[in-house]
Parts: sequence; C-alpha cells; structure tokens
Amino acid sequence: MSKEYIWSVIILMSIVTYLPRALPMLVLSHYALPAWFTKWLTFVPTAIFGALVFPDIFIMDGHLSLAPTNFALWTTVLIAPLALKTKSLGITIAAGATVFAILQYLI
Amino acid sequence: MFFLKINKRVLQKISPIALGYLILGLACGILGQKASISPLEMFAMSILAYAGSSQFIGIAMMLQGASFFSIGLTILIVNLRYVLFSSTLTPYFSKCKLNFLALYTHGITDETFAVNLNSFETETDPYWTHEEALSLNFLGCIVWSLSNALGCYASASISLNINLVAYILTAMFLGIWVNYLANRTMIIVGLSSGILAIILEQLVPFKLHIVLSSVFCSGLACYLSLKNEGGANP
Repeated sequence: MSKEYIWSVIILMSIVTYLPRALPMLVLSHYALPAWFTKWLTFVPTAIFGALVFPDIFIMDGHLSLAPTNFALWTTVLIAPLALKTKSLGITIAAGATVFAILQYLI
Repeated sequence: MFFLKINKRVLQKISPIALGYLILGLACGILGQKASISPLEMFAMSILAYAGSSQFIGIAMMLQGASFFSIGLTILIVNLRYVLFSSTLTPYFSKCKLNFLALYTHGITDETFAVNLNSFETETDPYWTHEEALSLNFLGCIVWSLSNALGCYASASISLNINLVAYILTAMFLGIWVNYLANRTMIIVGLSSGILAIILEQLVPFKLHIVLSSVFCSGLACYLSLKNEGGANP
C-alpha cells in the first residue's frame, strides 16, 4: 500500500471525524437553544447507547441470535444486574471481560 | 499547557476508559500493521482521527483498496452520532472561546462524551471544569494513540482474542448506558431504541441504524413529553 494512499486516508479520516464533532458545538454555542431542543437532547444518550449495545449483543454473524454460543448476549445478561447496581464503567468492563472469557472457555 | 488540569478525579475517571482503549488500541494497531501502516502513521491517525470504530472500518476498507470517496462517506456516516454528542454538550460550554471549543470537540468520543456529561451533571463540589473535561479527552487520546502505535509495532508478539476484544467495547457501552437508565422514561427510550436498532441494522447500510434509531426514539420521547406537559399545564 503506497505511503501517499495511507497519508491521504489519514487526512481524510481526520476531517470526516472532526467535522461532526466540532461543527454543532461551534455553531450552536452562539445561540440560546430552544427549550424543545434541550429537552430532546436529554433523551439522546440513553437512546444512542441502547442502539449501540443491543445490535452488539443480539446480532451474531449478521443474524439475530439467542444461541448459547452468543457469548456477548449471555455475558451481558449475567453482568447486567451488577452493572445496573454499581453503575461503574470499570467494574462493568472487568466483569464483562471475565465472564466472557469464562463462557468461551466452558462452552 | 494552561488549558489542561490533570488531578485525582480526572485520573480516576479516565482509568477505566484507558484500560478499554489500551486493549482496543492494541487490536486496532495490529489490524493497521496488516494494512502495512507503520507505527508512526498509526500514531498520527489515532491522534488526528481519535475514533475507534472509524479506524477499524477505515483500515478494513483500505485493505480492500476502497476509494477515498467511499471511505470518507462511510466514516462520516458512522460518525453522525457525534453531531448529537456535540449538541448535547453545548449547554455546558456556552461561555467558552472558539479556540477552546475547537480543541475540546476534537476529543469527543463515545466514552469521553458520556463521562464528561455525567461529571458536569453530578460533580458539584467543586464543579467539573472545562479544563478537567479537556484533560480527560486528552489523556484518552494519548492512551489510544500510544496503544495503537504499540499494537502496530509489536503485532508479531501480541496475540489477542478478537471476540473478547469486541466484547470489551460492548461492555464499555453497557457501563456507560446504565448511567442513563435513571428512571422509567429513560429505560423505555433506551430499550426501544435498542430494539429498533436491531431491526434497522438488517435494513440500512453504513451502520446508519445507530443514528436513525436514536434520533427517532429520542425525538418521539421529546414530542410525547412536551405534549404531556402542555396538556397538564396549558
């Protein structure tokens, strides 16, 4: 792969990752946001992370899977109570990695 | 650097993220090495783009020799959710100068967004500062970039269980998500967005299901809650 191609892609990636992050805040910070807009934003994080987690755990190899070998799903089921109780990112990652590795080893 | 303020609570908040970034970064660097990207290029890419799934997707497309247009468009669409993150954080940065915002927004990722938002909401004694928020982004970026470079450099001597690495990213999302499931409404919005995303994932390309599902479900929740408020208090 040529160096020109690699560096061109790096620059391209930098632009297309920066614009969606920077433009909204750079533009919106000049205005008083309408009440409906700030209300809407309060629902955004829970919706986005739901949309990130569910396909990750329910879809395996492109299909909906409830199979015992869908370790991502069963690990999540097992660690969900702990995650919900502690609300700790560190504990969730540690418990998730441990349980996932154990299931992989056992099944 | 006078924009930065690295203290105990910043380090406490970044450590679980840094652990996740270390493992994912190593994996990303190993993939980069397969595409004959050098450790220095990997470091530059990670500093400049600072994006997990985008880098995985971008490198995979490079391996297929994809065109600039398709790489650029795919990554732009994958990153549309940052529009929502950036907007969500805006109220907390209303008094900041543009050069600070230009620097701060570069470091918005799924994880730094969530932890900073949560800190602005809950840290009151003393309040979470813009300098601490920037420092959190900055430290995450350093860990991410170094581990990418390391993964690329030492790819021959590192062996990672790819399924486990993939699940660590999911566990990070889960660990963040549970913080937003604070009441019945938020739980319903989150679960319905998750279910809709599974359906859309089968129907739309470019990972558009994430942004489509979350805009629809959060929008509907906002509409219903404003309608209820209007009805109760005309």
